[in-house]
Amino acid sequence: MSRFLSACLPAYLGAVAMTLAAACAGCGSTEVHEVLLRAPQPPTGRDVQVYLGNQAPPAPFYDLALLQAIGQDGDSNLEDVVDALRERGRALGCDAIVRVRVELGYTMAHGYGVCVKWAAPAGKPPAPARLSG
Amino acid sequence: MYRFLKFGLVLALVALGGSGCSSVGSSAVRTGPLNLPGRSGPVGIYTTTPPPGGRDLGFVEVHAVGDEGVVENLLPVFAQRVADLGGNAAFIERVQAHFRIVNYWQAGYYGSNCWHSRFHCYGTAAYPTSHEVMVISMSGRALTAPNQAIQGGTP
Repeated sequence: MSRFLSACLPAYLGAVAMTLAAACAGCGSTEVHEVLLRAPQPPTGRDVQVYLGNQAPPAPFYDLALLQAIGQDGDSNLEDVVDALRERGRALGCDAIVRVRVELGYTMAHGYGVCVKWAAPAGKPPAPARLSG
Repeated sequence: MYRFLKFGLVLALVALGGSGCSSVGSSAVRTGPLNLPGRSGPVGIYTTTPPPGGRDLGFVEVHAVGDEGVVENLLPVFAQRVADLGGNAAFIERVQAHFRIVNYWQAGYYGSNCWHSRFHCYGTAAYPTSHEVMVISMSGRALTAPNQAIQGGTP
């Protein structure tokens, strides 16, 4: 019995560990929420820049949308949440995400940012969104 | 009698759980000397800077727990509270999350073979468990701004 255990136990434990690792490889999800303030625009193909907190962007801009990303379990980290904001920003045609703020919990992470477009030097941005009061 | 009481208790709990209580809550506090009556009309949304020429009316906060704590749910309530203060512009200063670990007892059913018998035993057991909840809060200011500022957009 002890010989059987010593021979089979490592293989058994290895199989269990591999199964757990495989199962947990995708143990995370990120959901993105948004409120459009202006009509989305076609993706620019450029990289979407990220500006944290009060970090000032280098050019004048106008806002397109509020973005919120919520990462769960394996995705509850700064990187996945900011990547999710950036991806959504790219799809909406944003040039940058500004005022980005991320809070981390034990199993959840929350990210918020404002998706913006660089304003044309002499142009006037479109009127902002209105919500009925 | 006991069975009726128990049935009533279960019914009350089910009714309470199914009543669709929302976790969305909000506050609006008037600040400064300007005191405008509540209005019903469009509210401009400002996310990075307040509208030019805007005058402060008060502070607004909206929060919700879990799945309800998303910007799609919070922003309309925020705009409504701004309008309640007489504002036509909402400046969103912050959207942030707080995390709480909630401990509670969870009931579960179990079934197993009874010791040294051919009968099955079934029962209910309560065990302690914990769960992380996220509270999302959107806060900012209610302002009244000249109409052309609302039309002009954010820089």
